[in-house]
Amino acid sequence: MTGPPAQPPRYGRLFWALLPVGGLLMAWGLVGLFRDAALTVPASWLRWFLGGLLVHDLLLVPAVLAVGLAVRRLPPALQPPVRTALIVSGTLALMSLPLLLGYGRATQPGNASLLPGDYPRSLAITVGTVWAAAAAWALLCLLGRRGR
Amino acid sequence: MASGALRDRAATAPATPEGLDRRRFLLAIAAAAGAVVLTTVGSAVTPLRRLAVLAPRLPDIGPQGLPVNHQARDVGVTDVSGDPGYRLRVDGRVARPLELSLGEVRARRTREVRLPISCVEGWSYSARWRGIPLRDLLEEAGADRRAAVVVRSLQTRGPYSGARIDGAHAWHPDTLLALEVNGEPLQLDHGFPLRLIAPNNPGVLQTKWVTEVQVL
Repeated sequence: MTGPPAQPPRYGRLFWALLPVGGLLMAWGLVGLFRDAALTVPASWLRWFLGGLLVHDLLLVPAVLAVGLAVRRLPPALQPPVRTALIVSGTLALMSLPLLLGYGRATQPGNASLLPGDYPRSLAITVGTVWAAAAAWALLCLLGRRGR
Repeated sequence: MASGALRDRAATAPATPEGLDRRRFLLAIAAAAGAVVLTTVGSAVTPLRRLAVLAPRLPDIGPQGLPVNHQARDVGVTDVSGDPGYRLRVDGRVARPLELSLGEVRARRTREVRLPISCVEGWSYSARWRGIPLRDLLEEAGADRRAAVVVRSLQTRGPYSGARIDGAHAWHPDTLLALEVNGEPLQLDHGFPLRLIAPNNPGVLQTKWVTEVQVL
């Protein structure tokens, strides 16, 4: 990577004007967190706030980097479809995690309207569709290259 | 020229034929967002509900064809159908407080409206509700039309055991204390014997198991 050498950032007037605004908004959020503790459950908030960062930095990012390294070994023509399919299916899988783990079932036994779907099957079908489309795209790429 | 500068930048950008260039990367992100929307939006947009295969609730799945977020037993409500002690009270700043038994409530003039339960958790589904207009009760009790109203539930647990609605909202002709949904008496998990149904009211404030209407 080339570029100008890194310089310490210089903060303009806008930065200093907005700093107290942002600070006040954060303070307001914290006040609400503790004033309405019955609703917000600060211990649970802390678990999600810190836990989310830790899971992202210690699990998700290393996993993405490892998959990225593996994808680099694929033939170049296959890489765009594979990377796109990984981004789409990874997002679908991540967002389905609470459905697959059945979050909420334990606290509301017998509620038929909670998590009514067959989520493993739904995820398999949607992710399968994504990879089928990626396979068709990769085939087109390979054929196009050969035809040239 | 701007286009010339852009072309120069494109020419000097590292060539990565095996990766995704910026445009393709953004298109991949858009595809991921589109896939998530497509597989969930049907829980709020009824015509697309068959596509909502990755939504935590489906609009028409639940007792009486309507989802339930909190069951009676989750919030400590017991069935009052056999309880002669049940009363609907209209009190607070009123000229004539009312205290109605379930039979007296059922004997009143009813009205049918079609309104959705729009949950802040993301699902939304319409139903036909039949019940007594809240304005009838407020009028009979002699409440001020501008006064806000708190509708309270029998539920003893959970933060949303009541809803405050302003005067104009409370006196709207479509604001009901519903007795029936889709032509059937409300089941317990939908708020038997009475449930507040008001237009533009988030689902969590469509208070179930109503026992008191307090005029502020």
